[in-house]
Amino acid sequence: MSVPDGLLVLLQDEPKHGYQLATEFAERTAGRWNLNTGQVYTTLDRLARDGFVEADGTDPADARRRLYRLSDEGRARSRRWLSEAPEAPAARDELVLRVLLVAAVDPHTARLVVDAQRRQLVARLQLMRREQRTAGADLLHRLASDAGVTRVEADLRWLDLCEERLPTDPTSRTRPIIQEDL
Amino acid sequence: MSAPVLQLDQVVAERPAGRGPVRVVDGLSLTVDRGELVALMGPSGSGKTSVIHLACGLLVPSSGCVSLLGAPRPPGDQAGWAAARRRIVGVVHQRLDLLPGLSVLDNVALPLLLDRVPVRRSLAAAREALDRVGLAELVSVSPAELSGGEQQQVAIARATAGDRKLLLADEPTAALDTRTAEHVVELLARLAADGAAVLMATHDTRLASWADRVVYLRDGREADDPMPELIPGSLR
Repeated sequence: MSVPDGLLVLLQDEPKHGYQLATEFAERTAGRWNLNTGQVYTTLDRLARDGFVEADGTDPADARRRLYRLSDEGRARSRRWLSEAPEAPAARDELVLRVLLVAAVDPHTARLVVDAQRRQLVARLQLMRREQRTAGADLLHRLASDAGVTRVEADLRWLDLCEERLPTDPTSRTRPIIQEDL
Repeated sequence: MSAPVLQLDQVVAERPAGRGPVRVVDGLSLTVDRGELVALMGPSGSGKTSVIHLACGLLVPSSGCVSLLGAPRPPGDQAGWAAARRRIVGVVHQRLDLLPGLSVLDNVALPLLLDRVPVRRSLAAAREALDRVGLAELVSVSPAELSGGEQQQVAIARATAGDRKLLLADEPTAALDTRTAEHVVELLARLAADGAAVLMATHDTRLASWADRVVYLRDGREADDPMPELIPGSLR
């Protein structure tokens, strides 16, 4: 779960309160990840219980806002989180699922699924590139949208490999499951 | 609304093959407007190159009509097409084909000089075209000194020099590595955004995604949605 780890990163330099953390979280993820203040305080309470943050009084400007600062354990946990790769999600990927379920019994039809998926992804990529062209030069937005683009490109690359590996001869299929009306 | 720069209307075309002519384009209709990059996607043999050839008169349709700037081109009008290739339509091929004995500037100016445009005007137009593709400083070098990507940029400048309206590109990145290919297609997209009409044949989905529109070809026709209907009870 990355929200607690994300909050620890935001607490590196100085004590902050929940509302401030919620705002910064959205800003520093280019608006792609919004947390509500209640969720932030719940998470901070848990982090305090486990010793990763400590209560640090209240905001001088507003006594209702409780401040939290990072503990040494919290700082060590942040460092680990930033340097360790996230768990690999590939095994249950939706796109992979759609192709595999058909390829298992009908490779020929699986090629058509690959073809259809590819068109959808090309259309998505067209849209993303158009957005990139019209968007400003803001670094965070650019990095976040590059992430989206390269992931779709990787999916397209995988579909290319599927097409190379799936047999082309329709007579070779063991059990036709889908009517061909091309 | 002005006429499309390129229009194919129900075009059928054949090419000679071992056992008689083979139908390579089979009733295709297609338009490319000003300011638009259109990608022709399809496996090899789907008719992409034939469509490019039809659009510049290198292949004559056996029926249907090809129009440039709203004017139908009479089939078999070779002289008319040759003039169109010098003035209206530019072509970029997949292989790098600049003349090594000429400077970059002269390569780009050559089609205009062959069209008897005065030297001074030809060179000015060539400079302008090289400027558009970002190679203004390389005018005097020999193509042999350029990278593959730069050579293809020069070829694009040559195909757009003068007042040409339509740029045809047949797998323009086939000889390039992925990163350079992306750069070249980005350039095509920018030229389109600046008002050119561009038709690009490619089999690479990642490059096609730079286009404003993607036309999928199969067996010389626009390919419909590839996903077949499922029969009830057939998926177990």
